[in-house]
Parts: sequence; C-alpha cells; structure tokens
Amino acid sequence: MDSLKLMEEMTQVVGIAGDERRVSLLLKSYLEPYCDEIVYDHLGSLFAVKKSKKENAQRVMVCGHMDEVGLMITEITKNGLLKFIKIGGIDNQVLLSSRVRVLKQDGNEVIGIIGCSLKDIEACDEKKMLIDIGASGQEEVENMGIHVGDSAVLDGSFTIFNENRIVSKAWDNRYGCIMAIEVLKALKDIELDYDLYIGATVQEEVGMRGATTATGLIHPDMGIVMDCSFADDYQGKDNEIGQLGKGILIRYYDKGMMPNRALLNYLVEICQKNDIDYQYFYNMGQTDSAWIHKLFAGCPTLSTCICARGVHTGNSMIDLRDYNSAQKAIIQVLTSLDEKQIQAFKEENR
Amino acid sequence: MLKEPYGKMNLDMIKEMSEAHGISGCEKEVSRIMKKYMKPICDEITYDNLGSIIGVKKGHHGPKIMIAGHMDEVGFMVREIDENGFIRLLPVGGWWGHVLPSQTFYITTASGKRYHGVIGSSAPHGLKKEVKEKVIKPIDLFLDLGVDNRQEVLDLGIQIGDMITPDTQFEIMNNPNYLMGKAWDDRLCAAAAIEVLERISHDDIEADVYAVGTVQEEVGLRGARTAANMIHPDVAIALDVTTAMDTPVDQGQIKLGKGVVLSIMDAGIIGHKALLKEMESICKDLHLDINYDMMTVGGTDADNIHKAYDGVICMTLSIPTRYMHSHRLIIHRKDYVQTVEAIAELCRRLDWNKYKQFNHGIG
Repeated sequence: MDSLKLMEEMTQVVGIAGDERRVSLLLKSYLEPYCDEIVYDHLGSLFAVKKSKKENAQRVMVCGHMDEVGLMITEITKNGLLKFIKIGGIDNQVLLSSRVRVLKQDGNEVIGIIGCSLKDIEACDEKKMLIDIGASGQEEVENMGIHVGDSAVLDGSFTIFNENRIVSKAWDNRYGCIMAIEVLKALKDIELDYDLYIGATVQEEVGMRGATTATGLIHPDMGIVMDCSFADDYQGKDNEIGQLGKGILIRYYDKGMMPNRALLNYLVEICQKNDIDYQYFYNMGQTDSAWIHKLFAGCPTLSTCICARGVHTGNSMIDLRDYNSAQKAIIQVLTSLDEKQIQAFKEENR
Repeated sequence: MLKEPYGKMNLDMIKEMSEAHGISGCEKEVSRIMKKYMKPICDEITYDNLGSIIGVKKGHHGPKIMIAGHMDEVGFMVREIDENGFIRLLPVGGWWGHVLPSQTFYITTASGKRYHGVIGSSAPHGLKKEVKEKVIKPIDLFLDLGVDNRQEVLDLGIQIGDMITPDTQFEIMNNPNYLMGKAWDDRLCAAAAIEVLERISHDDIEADVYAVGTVQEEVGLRGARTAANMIHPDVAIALDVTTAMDTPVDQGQIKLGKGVVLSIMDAGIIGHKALLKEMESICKDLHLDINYDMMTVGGTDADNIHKAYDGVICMTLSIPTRYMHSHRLIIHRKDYVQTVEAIAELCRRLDWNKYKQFNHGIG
C-alpha cells in the first residue's frame, strides 16, 4: 500500500482518548502481517512483537499514541443541540464554526458544526458552544443514535499542498502510528538483537496514561517515542523552534524528560552520518517519554518527533520531508542497536 | 554562638560535592565523587538506569533503609548560540532573574570540555526607571563567552543542549561553622547520606543501609522514583535543604545553627507519624535540637519514595540553607552534623521489631 494512502486512512479515522478502538483495529490489521504476535495492555495500547532469535533478549519499546484530541458529548438540549467538553488541549478559538464528526456507537458518523448565541460570540468559551447536527429537538437526536458520552473530532480532510506539505486532522499523533507500521514493514527481513515492541499507546492527550500501562506490560530496556510536536515557525526567523521541512527533532528538553545524553547524541550522529536533516528542539510540553523513561528502574528513552503546524486543530500540516527524515533515522537507530549499546545507554550517566 | 567548628564533618568531601558540576540528567561528575567516598565504606555500589547511585552496607537481614539526597543542581542549558556568539539560556530548575546578572558560569560540552562565561547586563547609566525596577526573566538573559561570533563558539565544541552551571568555590566563612558554596541544594544532603554510612561503618547493625544520590529531583523527583524501585526499601529518609528564614529579607521560624529539622509535611508527603516520633526520641536521647518544618509548596524525593510499591515508611529531614537556587548558599555545620547523627542512630535502632512498631498504628 502506498504511503500517502496509508497516511490518509490513519489520519482520517476517528479516535479520541479512551475511544481509540477504530484506530486500534486498523493498526492491528497493518502490523499483524509483519510480527510474531500482537499484545495489548488493559487500557487498549497495542504492540506488535518482533522476536529476536536470542533467549531472554532485551526489549525495545517503540511507540506513537493512537488517540487524538477531540470532544465528548455531555448533554443533548431540548432544541436538539449537543453540549460538549474538550478531551485534550484545544484552544477555544479553534472550535467556533468548525465542522465536527460525531462518532455514534454503531460506528457511523454524523456531521455537525459548532455554533453559539450571537450575544456570546466575542468571548465564547466551550461552555457556551453547541454542536448543531441539524436536529430540531432532543428526540430527533436520540433517534439519530447519538448518546451522551459519544466522541466527536474536528473535521479536516487529507489534502496535499504544494507536493510536500500534507494537511489533515490528527497528525498528532497518527504520525507515530503510521511510522510504527512503516518501520515494522521496513524491518521485515532484518533480524534484530532484541525483541522489538512497536505500536501505539492510548490516552496520551489526557495524561500519558497508556504509556504508563504499556511500559508496565513491556518492561522495556529502552524506549523510543514518536510524536508530533507544535511547530512555531510562522514568523520566518532563523531561530524559531520547530520549523517545517528542517528535519527530525532533536528534543533536548521538555517538561517530561531530560534526555539520555548518549542516546540523544547517538541520534545526532546517525543523522550526520546518513545525511538526514535534523533540528534542535525543546518545548514545555511532554510526550509518552515522560513516563516510559522513569518507571521501574528507569530506561533510556529517545524522542523521535517531527513538528506540525496547527497541532490540536482540524487542520494540522506536516512536511513529508520531515517524515522521511524521521523514518530514515528511526530505522537506522533500530537496526544498529544491540545489547551492548543498550547497556551503554543505561550506564551513560554514571 | 559557636566559634569552634561543631562536630565531625568531612570538609574535603563537602567541597568536592559542592564544586562538582551537574544539572538534572548530567549528574555523573557528582556520582563519581560519591562513588569514591562510598566505595571504602560500603559492600556494593549499584545504579538505576537514570544514574542514581546506591551504596549499600549490609546488616543482618534486617529492614532496608534508604537515605536519599539528590545530586542534581539547578542550572541552564544552551538554548541558542546567536550570530554574535552570545549564549541564550534555558533554565533547568527554578531561577530568579535577580540573582543572575554578572555571575560567572561554566558551559560543559559533550566531550567534557569546560568554558567560562559571564551573564551580561545593561549598565545602570541612563537606564529608564521602569527597566531598573523590573526583574529580568532568566529566559531573556544571555551568557557572554568573550568571543567574536557563533563560529568561534561552535569551534569550541559547544552545542545546543550543553549544560551550564554556576562557577563558585567552596568557602569556610569567618565563623567556621558557616559554609558557603553552590549547590547545597542538594549536594549537602547527598554528602550527608555518605556520612551516615561512614558513621555506622564499624557498627554491627541489623538493617541494610542504602545511601543514595538520586538524579533529576529538580525537574520532577524522577531519580527518587527509579532508585526506590531498585531498592524496594522498608523505611526511607529523604534529605533536602529548606529555606532558612533568618536574614534581613527572610524572617521566619527556620534558622541556621538550630540543629535537626524534622519535616512534618510538604506538598507531596505527610511524614510517617511513627517514624517522626522515633526521630524525636532519637534526638532527645542524643541531646540533639529538634525543629519542625512544614511546607505547603514544593516537594522532596520523599514524595515519590513513600508511594513506591505498597508504600514506604518515609519522611523528610531538612537542612536549612540561605540563598537557595543561587550561586552562593550558606549553611551551618551544626545542622548538618546533627542531622547525620540522628539518621545514623535511626539506622542502628532499626530492626524488624522497630519496623513492626512503625506499622502498628495502621489498620
């Protein structure tokens, strides 16, 4: 299957935190042919296991997260509108007049738009906003099969802009899911020195919860996190942090993890040796790394992120060249790792 | 007030610990010093996978007690090297802009080379009143390495993400009980953990004593979590500094030179009551002075240690310091010495009976 088709399918499927099943089923179908086994934690995180031939091999956990930010229906009003809360961080100014996809329990979807009263329009927060699905009363909504607790996401179709820029909803973090599929496929004829657990966690956007349980499941010796971070390059200055098209992010600081220095340098050296574009990056957010690296006795963990404009909106944009840089780098890291190297990362700060 | 130095204290070790460079995630220089001093007095040295160092002195199958101080200090990372060669800073740990301008720092490169620089600031001449009265945010400050341009900085091997740490020499003050240095938060306490081992090294005791230098406390108590997972302790004491409130600008209960400070609670732990009581009776028996500390903001390694596994009997002992999170902190020898003696005695007294007593009030 071609890469763009896969990207479209994976970014367009709906799956907010706690309701990732449709993403999970897709992921499973693409990972299954290339692994020995699929394993789950009890929150729904999914990993394909590619075993090495070694007994008691080390375990390397590589993951994106399946969930996207979105909305949850909390109330159906008498006049047939839907009240909602945000699941994950979405700025209010992104919401108003957006088109949303409401996911019903039967798996079908209904389109809605977010509106509010004229008197509220200037200082509108999500408590005053309502989803309009064209129903004229509560009963009509119920007849359509929509329930309190159902998910909705900001709509944003898959569109290629000017060859390399791809716009879609949910690049955060179907990037990581797509990468997991393509990386596992690329490794299909390669024997690794360790057992590879590659897949995606759930519920990252509400507190990296799946990362915690998946780490509990796998008990990894090393972690690699693939996430999609905020680009901040609208001003066109050279020193902006997170620039589209400048390559994989060398994430040397965030609020959740101090980097394992040797592992971070390992990534930089791989980029330099293989002519892969990279850029230094920090932010005040965090990724699944925040938990993976500090559970049990700790494990060396690497962030292999790219950046996107418009993260946490319906229209996020990545640069295909960044995706390709990241893919090359991740494959290089995974194929060059061995037991000795992983042990050296563990001993880096001694 | 005392003019003679109070009690026994390894000043060589204290000096080395204070002057070592290591922000969160880059503590290996500190852990190597700890290793050097612990090796002769403990049975085994191990590490967690983040770099926390653990020295254990085995007893006779008694309970495991963990004594933890953190090795990381507050500092900065290189965030940007501008075209003129000025280094823009990324704070790691909490800094107040007020204590920074005209202070010197070292940058440590990936290969371990060290370069000196100074934080630049405007001259007061003709500065507008509103600028003079405003504190500069640390993120807006810069380090001047005395170079022509960016390329010269890169040629030195300096790269984004490199560690930046204060340049301060340890100093014994005019009254030798007052000790000035950087990073008393929390090297003083990591050193105290070693001195506890030293104090009990010839005693025949039941408990296994684990002296621990944890990593990454300043960014979220991370090494305490991983180290506690390694050890699975039965009892734990986290050692951290607390703010002395005995200067013209800070007034309060906690003062230098007043002895042991038992922390009743902080934002992340309520100290174990039976352990607190035990510490009180130890202090009384040893004629040590008792003070109490209570914090509603800020936490210590104890916050994570006491929640590990099925829970750990745990509390924090604090050592007061002036001028926390700056280039020069001042502590008092008596507070350190008494803290070490109190914890050493706890190690001696801890056996399974004592442990049962600690747990008796529950359920």
